[in-house]
Amino acid sequence: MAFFFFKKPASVAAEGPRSGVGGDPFALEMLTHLDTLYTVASRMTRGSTEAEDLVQDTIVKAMRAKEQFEPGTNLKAWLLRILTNTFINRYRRGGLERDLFEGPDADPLADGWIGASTMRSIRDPETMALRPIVEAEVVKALDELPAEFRLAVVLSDVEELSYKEIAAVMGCPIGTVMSRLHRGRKLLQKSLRDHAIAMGLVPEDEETQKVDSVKAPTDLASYRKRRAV
Amino acid sequence: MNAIKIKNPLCSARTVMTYADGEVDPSHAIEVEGHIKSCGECREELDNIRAMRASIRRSTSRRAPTALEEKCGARLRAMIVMGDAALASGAATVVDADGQLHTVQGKQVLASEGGRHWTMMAFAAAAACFVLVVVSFRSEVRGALGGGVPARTGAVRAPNFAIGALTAKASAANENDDDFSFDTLLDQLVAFHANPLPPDAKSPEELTKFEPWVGVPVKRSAFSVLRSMGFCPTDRPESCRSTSFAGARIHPMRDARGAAALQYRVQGHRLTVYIFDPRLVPMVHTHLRSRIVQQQQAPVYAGRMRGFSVAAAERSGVGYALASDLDEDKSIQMVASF
Repeated sequence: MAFFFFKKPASVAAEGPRSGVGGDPFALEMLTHLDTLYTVASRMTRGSTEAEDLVQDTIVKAMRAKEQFEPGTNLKAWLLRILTNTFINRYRRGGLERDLFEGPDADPLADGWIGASTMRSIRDPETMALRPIVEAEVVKALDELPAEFRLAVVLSDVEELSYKEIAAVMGCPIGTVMSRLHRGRKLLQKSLRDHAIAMGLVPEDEETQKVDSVKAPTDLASYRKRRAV
Repeated sequence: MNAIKIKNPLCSARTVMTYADGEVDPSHAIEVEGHIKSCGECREELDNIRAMRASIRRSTSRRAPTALEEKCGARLRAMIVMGDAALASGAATVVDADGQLHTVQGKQVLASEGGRHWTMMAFAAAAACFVLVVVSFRSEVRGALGGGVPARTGAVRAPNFAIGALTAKASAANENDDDFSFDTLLDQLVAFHANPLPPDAKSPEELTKFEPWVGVPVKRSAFSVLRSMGFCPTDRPESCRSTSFAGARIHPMRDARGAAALQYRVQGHRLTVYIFDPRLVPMVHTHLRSRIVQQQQAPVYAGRMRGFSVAAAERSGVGYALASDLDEDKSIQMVASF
């Protein structure tokens, strides 16, 4: 008779953000993706307070376009597509593409291998993640990436979307997703390694320099060539 | 040069990335895996990608702030109350104006936490009046036009909306003991299902005495859906009678409220159903996948926990969660039928 030990319930029931939305399954399901939308919006806007506005705009737009959503398809990817478009239209007129032709993307070094010993020394063998002091820099390094690289990395690494889903969200072919991801991750590795060197975690000795400037190939083809010799 | 290509076609950072992302074509997966295992450089690259992913995930995952959840909920409610048609026309601008109000309010909250209660009350009052005006105006227009479409339930919902905003402070105060989440409930459901305690009530008639603690009607399910699920073969109609109610007990949650735990036996399968007030345990932030089974019905959340099949949904304002050893589809069908 365990239930006799309970006091009578308080008369006021707690009301969550979902109360009143209950009659609308679409609205309800949308609200379950709020964390995802907020995570992605925070990185798109580089952690600014605009992230909240971006999420609200996305939710309102999605609700208006509700009829266009095909039940049974991926609602998360559909919402992220609206979020991406809203971001491009409202916060960055001119689109995402612009960044492709400028900035660190032009750096061919980012495509090759980065010295294995250097990278190994910034990993934490215990957590299998990066060493805490390097990890502290991850958000900054990510925010420094061109927007479309950043978006691809967040969608893949944080939200675990497939290449196909990322392509749908970003409105580009799968091949483009792969190269954005690849280059985005390489750029991240590079800036985290630079950070580690600046912090004195990794000695910038001759070995490292040699790896970077001489051994590190400019592309995979030349890397293979050199290996073959 | 050809020889080089043949020598190591798999040894590329891109292939490793594709592997790390789980996107290697299944027909090549074994080959790629074999190479990565044997190639030091590729292993190194794989470890790097994984380490970066773990760190990125840890440092960028965000939980939407409660204030944002409330704002989004309020905007959606306003849109639902005003009806679908309103969204297409002039009312859309009204929603935007509404959104502006919310934004202003959000900044005030940041500026002075103390003023929050009054700001919200003032806002709620304004919003409630506004919504009521819009709804009554819409019903009048519809009435005048002689349309057969009944006004939506807005008039009923509008006061709810106001109450929701007024009690927001109470719910914010409860945030600290908010650790009783939907996932906690499901965890406890599975634990209870795995190790059931003796029932407090053995007959279905006793179930009503649980209601003061649960806050929603507690009834035995007739499981009428069993027939369509192939549990009652037409040649053996008596097999359906082997569905039996095995007893129930209350399961404490928080604030002296509980969930009713009902146990059933369905042809050798043991079923545990939690009936709870979904306002107390909002069905969000769960690792279960949500699915829309029927149009115009709330989604069903389903998945596996500790080897048991778990499904949950809100039906007519009552929360149901089911743990069993049925397969996922059957669990979903059962929960959807509650």
